[in-house]
Amino acid sequence: MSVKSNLESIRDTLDELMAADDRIMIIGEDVEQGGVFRATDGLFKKYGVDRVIDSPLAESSIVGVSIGASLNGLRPIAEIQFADFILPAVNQIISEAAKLRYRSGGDWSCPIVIRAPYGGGIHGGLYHSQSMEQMFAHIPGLKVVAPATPYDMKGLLRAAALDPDPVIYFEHKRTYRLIRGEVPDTPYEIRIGEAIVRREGDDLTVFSYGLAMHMCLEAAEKVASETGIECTVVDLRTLLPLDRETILETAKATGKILIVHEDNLTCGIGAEVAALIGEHAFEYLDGPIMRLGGPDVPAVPFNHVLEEFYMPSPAKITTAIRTLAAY
Amino acid sequence: MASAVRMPQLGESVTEGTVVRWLKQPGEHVAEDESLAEIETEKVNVEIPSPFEGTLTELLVPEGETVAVGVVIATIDTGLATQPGSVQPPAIAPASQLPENAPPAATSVSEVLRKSPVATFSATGPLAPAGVAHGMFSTGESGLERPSPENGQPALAPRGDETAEQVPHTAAKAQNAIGVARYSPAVLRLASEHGIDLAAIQGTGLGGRISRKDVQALVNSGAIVRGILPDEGSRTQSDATALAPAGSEVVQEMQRSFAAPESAASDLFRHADGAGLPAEARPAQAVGDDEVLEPLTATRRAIAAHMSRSVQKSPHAWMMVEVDLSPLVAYRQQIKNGFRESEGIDLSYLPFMIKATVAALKLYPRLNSSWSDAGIVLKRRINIGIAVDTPAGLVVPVIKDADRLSISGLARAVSDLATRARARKLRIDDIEGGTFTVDNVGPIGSIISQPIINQPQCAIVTMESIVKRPVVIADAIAIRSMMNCCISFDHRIVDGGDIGPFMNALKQNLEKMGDGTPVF
Repeated sequence: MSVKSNLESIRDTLDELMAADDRIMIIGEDVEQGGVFRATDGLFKKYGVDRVIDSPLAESSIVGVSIGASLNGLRPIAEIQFADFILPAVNQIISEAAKLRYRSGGDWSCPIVIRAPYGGGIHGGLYHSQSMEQMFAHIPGLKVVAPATPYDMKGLLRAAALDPDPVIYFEHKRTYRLIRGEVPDTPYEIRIGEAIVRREGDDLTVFSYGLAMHMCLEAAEKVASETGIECTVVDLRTLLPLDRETILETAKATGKILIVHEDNLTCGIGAEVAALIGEHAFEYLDGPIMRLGGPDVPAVPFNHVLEEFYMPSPAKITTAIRTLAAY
Repeated sequence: MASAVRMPQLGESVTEGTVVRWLKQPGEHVAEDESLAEIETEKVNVEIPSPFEGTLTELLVPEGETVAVGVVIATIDTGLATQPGSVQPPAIAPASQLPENAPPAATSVSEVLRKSPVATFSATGPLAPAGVAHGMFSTGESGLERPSPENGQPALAPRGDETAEQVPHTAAKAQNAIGVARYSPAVLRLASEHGIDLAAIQGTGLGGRISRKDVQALVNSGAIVRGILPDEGSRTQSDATALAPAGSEVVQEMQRSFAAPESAASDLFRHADGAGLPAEARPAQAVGDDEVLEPLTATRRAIAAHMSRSVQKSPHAWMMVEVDLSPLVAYRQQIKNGFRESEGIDLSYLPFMIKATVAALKLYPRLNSSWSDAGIVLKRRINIGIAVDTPAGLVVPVIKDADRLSISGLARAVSDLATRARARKLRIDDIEGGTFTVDNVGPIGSIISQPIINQPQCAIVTMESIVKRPVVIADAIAIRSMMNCCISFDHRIVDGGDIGPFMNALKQNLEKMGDGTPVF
């Protein structure tokens, strides 16, 4: 057991996976040099040019090559430098990777992992701050995970790498060095599709993931110490498929639901979670299902003040918790 | 300067009114005679006009509450009338400016938030707080989730949440901002599982809303009477009173009930709508396992009070005559299709009955009167009340100046009043001023009935079922269409000697009707 940052956990897990399975290879922009966030630091030196491949600045080819490699027996882990850049690869992901198993009647599958650092709060401006998860969470045939802690980074990356089908692995870049935690040194998997209850309380249930989930935990502690309002905080971890069982169970327990994400509010993950609860836990609801999402503006602004306004924060979450608790 | 708006007297013998809906909110400018609120009285709903021009400052009666005539229900600041809309009354200052102990000011939370979206909710922009105050299932508000242009994309958030912190605080103070009778699915489910009467619980949620935790606390407290749930037997009654602050009628009743501990809790939890019952009307015993308590509607309660009062007040005497309606039956049969075609409404026997009654009243005006201690008040106008059965209960709208109407005019008046009565669209004016009542009980299959006088009138006459019977005419037996007419009359005003001639006049008027009776 050692304490690692989210980034360290990802890097060490990649190393661990590659050491154990020589089918696993990495492809992406500047990955030979360790990548812009240093997630592949040292791997080129250790595993060589055949397994850590620098790609051109062409995301559709990064994913397309990965798909081809997977069909030929390899286990590619593609790195999209910023999730913002994933758009040129969307055709490959949605029309090819997500559909291979389906269109071949189960004869073929596409075991690739696409890692994509997402989210704002790092003064990255319009092209380095977007949240793209909602787009892929809509696509059957894909799995979408968004781990928030070093422990989950490892467990879900391993599960993603071993999964027989395509997995989009979203890493909130603001948490890379911000969040640290204990990570076992031995290999383990976290089953894709399992949420986790991070905190228990009987006043209301907060659903979140990624960076916002940490803010929810902070806000929950704050309201608990100041007003005695006790929140359950659920880290969704996997966005497709959602953990319906945990969502409904924890929603029913309090009847008051707050869903928080950094992504734009409209048609975000919160909409799906709210709909699930509204449909399957209606009789347990004790208040309006509330969502706290990013404002529906085209991008996370570069201006620091505006970026701060865009981003979720413990203060905003605290206000929402109190409002809902008082309802 | 603030002027008081009082619950108006909305009709004779109307002593109280229920605020169904406020049409204006504090801070809004109201013109003189602009509708201020929707008020429900015993039988009709009306919109009351504002007596002043000015800015509405306070709503003192929450929606759903019933108050006596004359009680101040709102205040209007007439001093601000010269600059409508430009001046915010203090009660709705932005939440950020509210001192810690700001007066509660019957301002709705949504109002506060709407007036100051930036100060209070900019940080949570898309939460569009208006919906919070009005409840999940409320009407036209935007709801929680849809960003609207004015609050969906707010300006910069204040740092920290010191302003935001006041929101729930203010919210809690804004008592009565929402209807108290709306429960969330969770609350309803719990209440139903545990047999709890929600009307007896004081909520701690926004605007006094009962929350899931309020109900859960009651369940956990063990205050629920044993026997309602099989496994509740071991629980004991405890501090159920603590859940509701003293002062409400229910609680007072509860506290009285607690003197008899066996029935106390069940009284509490089985009373639906117990708050409005006069104390003596409450069952001393709990409603048993095989019984169901149906909550009283305002109409039911009004009928009950009215009937009891009438029987107590007027010594009812009764008589009946038999009427041979054969010619009228044949005549109606002959003209009814044409009437329907030309007039668009059905021609029933009731207009004929009213016509005959009115004519008899013209002969014997003493029956068109009411009792007073100073003397018998004889009425010049003949306004005939007609009893109409509606889903909500009995209502008696009035045909004004029925003596001036033809059969066709009466038919139209009956049709109009009955339709509007069933749609609950009657105006106060429609149910006032009756001087005599005709009750058509034939359709319910009655052949003899004993009606209760519609106070403060002198008498009420019924028309019973028309049935073919063998009758003796000139020593021969004939089959005739016969109808009984019964009358209950106030024996303080008239005697049998007055009623006999009246009823016989009525009988003759009806028996004369037939081929050739003018309908138009």
